[in-house]
Amino acid sequence: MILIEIPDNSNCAAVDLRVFHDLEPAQPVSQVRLVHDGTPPQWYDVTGWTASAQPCPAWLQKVDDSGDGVAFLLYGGEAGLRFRPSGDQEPWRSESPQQWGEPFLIVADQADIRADMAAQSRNQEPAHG
Amino acid sequence: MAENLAQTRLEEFLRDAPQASQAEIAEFRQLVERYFLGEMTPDAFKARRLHMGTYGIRNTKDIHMMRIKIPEGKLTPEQLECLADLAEQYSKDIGHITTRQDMQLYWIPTTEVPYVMARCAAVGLTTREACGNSVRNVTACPYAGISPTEVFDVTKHADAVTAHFLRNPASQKLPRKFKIAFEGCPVDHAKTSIHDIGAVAAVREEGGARILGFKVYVGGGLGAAPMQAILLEPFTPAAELLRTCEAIVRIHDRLGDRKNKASARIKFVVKRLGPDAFRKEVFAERDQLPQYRYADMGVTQTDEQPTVPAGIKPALAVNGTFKRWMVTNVMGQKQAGYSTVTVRLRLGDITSSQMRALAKIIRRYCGGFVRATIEQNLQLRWVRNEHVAALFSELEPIGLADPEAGKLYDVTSCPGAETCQLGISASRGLSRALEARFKEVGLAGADIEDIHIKVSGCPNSCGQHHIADIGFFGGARKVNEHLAPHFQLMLGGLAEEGVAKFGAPVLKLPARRIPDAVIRILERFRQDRQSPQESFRIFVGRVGIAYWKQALEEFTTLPPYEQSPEGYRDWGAETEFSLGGMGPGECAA
Repeated sequence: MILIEIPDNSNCAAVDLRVFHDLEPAQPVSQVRLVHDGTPPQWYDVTGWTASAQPCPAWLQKVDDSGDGVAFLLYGGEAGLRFRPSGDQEPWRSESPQQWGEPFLIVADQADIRADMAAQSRNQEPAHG
Repeated sequence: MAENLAQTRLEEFLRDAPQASQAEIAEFRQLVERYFLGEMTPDAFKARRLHMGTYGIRNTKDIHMMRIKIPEGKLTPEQLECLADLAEQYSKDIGHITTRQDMQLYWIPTTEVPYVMARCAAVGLTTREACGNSVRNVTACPYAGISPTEVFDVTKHADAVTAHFLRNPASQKLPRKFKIAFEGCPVDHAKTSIHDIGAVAAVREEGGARILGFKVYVGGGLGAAPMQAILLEPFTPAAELLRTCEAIVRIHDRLGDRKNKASARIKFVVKRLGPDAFRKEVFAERDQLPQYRYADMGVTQTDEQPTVPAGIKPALAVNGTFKRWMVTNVMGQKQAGYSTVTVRLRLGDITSSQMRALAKIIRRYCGGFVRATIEQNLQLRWVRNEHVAALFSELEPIGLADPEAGKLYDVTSCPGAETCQLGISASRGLSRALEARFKEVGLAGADIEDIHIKVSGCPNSCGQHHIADIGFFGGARKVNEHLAPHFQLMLGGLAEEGVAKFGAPVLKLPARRIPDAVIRILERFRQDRQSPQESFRIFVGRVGIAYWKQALEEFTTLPPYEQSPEGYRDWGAETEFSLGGMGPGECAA
C-alpha cells in the first residue's frame, strides 16, 4: 500500500491523504513521457522533491486502477515530483522556469516511463510505502 | 454435475436476455474460465471485469462488488425482485443504491459473476460500462415526468443517450470515466453542474413552433480536483442531442490526457483549452457526425400510465411520524390527484425482503413506477392522494416509512472503508453516528432541516462531499503518537444548474468527535445568523473560515490514548484504526 499526502509546499499543489495498492516492488525512475502545456507527448526528466527543495529519488509503482485495472504511480518526496525537459542541462532548482512540480502522476502505459538504472544499481528503496 | 447445473441455471436466464447481452455474458464466462485456468493474467482479467461493472472488495480475492446500472433510476417491480434474489443469495441481504442511481451488490464470487449478469440481463439490467473508462450510468432527475415545475420530461431523451452509448465503439476505451446527467426541473436535482455532460431541458419558440432542446453543460466533476461545468451552448435542439454528446465524448477520447490518468477527465481538457477553444473543437467534431435521430425526440410528457388500484381502503393518519412523513416525503405530482412518495433508505441500503415487499406495493399503488434517486432513496410515483395514508401504513411495518427524506437527517454516504478499497475511514459509520446523535439531542427545526450533510470515505468524492452544506471526506492523522481516523470538514458547498460551489475546507476532525462538532456548527448557525432569511451557506460565507476554526478548535483533539482508546477507533470498529488492511483501489478513482 502506498500512502501519498503532500502538505503545502512551493513545488506543487497539496494533496490530501490518498491510498494506492501496490502490485509490484517500487523502482527508481529517471524519465517519463508526458503531455505538458499542450505540447505533444515528450520525454521529461523526473526527480522527487523534498520539503527543503532538494532533489530526491522518484519512484514507479504498479498500482490498481479503476479504469484499466492497473496503472503506474510515480511519486517522489514530501514535496512531490519535479520535471524538466529531457536533455536540459540546468540543475534542479525551485526557481527554474523550465521546471515544474506535480504531487504525483498516474501513468497509463509503462512504456512512457524509463527506469533510473544508476539508482537501481545502488539498490535504493523508497522512504515510505 | 454441479457444473452442468450452474450452466443450465445461467442459460435459463440468458434465454430471456437481449441478444447483445447473451453474447457478452457468454464471452465473459469464457474469460472467467481462462482466468482460473491461468490462461489470462490477473491484470488482463481485471480490466475486462471492471468494464463489466465488477469490482474487487477490500481484503478479498476473487470476491466482487457488482454495480448494476439503473438508467435514469427507473426500476420495475420485476427488476427489484430480481435484485432482491441476488442480494439474498450473495450480498448479505442488502442492496445499496448509489449517488449515481445504480445498485451495488457485494460478496459475489468470480465464478458466479456471469450468473448475476445473466439474471440482471433477463430483466433488462446490465452491469456493462458501470465501471471502467466508459460512459457510465446516465442519470436523470427522479421527478422527471411528474414534476409540477419541469420544462418537459427528460426521461426518453436520457434513454436515447443511454442506448446510444451502450456498447458504442466511441465510448469503450476513453481516457477516463464519463458521466452524463439530465434535468428537466428548474431545481437541479440531478446535479448537472458536476457532470462531464449535464443536459438541462429547454424550449425555444421558432416561427410559432415549439422546439425541444437542452442547455448543455460540459466538464464538471468532483474528486481531488473539483470543477464546475461550463455552458457549451445555451440551446442544443433535441435533434442535435446525440451527436452533440458523441462529439463531446470523441473530444474526450482524442484530447484527454492518456499519459497522466490523474488529469485524464474531460474537465482537464476544458481547463487546458479554455471554454472558447473547447467549444470550437466540439462543434467542429459535431459537424462531421451524422445527425442521429431518435424515436422519442419530440416527447415532452411521460407515457407512464398509472393503474387503477383495486381494494385499497383509504386509511386515516396512522401515528406520530405520519404527519412529518407527509411533509418531508410526499409531494404532489403535476398530474392532479397523484403524489410522489420518497422511500428513505438509510445510507442507500435496502434489504431483500424490503425489496420484495416494495415491489408488491409498487404494483398495487404506483402502477409499477419507481425511481432511484441520487440521494440514495427510492421515489414511488403515481400514488393516488387518497391512498397516501394507506401506503404509509404498508411501508411502516417493512421499515420503509422513515420521514426526513432529503433533510438534515438524510445523510448521503459512499460505502467508505466498510467495503471500498479506496476508503480510508468509515463514512457510513460516521453517517449513522450523526443521525443517532441528532436523535439523541432531539435536533429539529425548520431553520436547520434543509442543511445537507454528505460524507465520503476518501478524497474521491463518491459521497459528493464538495457540494454539501456540511461535507466530510476521510483521512487519517497521528494524535498522541496513535493513528486515528479523521475527516476533513468542508462547509458551504452547493450545486445548482450551471453553478457548483465547492465547500471551503475548514479543518480535520477526529472521526469520533464529529457528531458533537456538527451539533456545535448547527448551534452556532442558530445563534449567530443575522436573520431567519440568512441561509446556512450564506452564513458560512459571511462568518468566514477563522470563525469556524475557532468554534471547532476543541473538537480537533483527543484525550490521551490510554484514557480513551475507543476515541482512536473508527465508527463501527472494535479494533485499533489502521491503514494496513487496505486493498486495491478500484472503486472510484
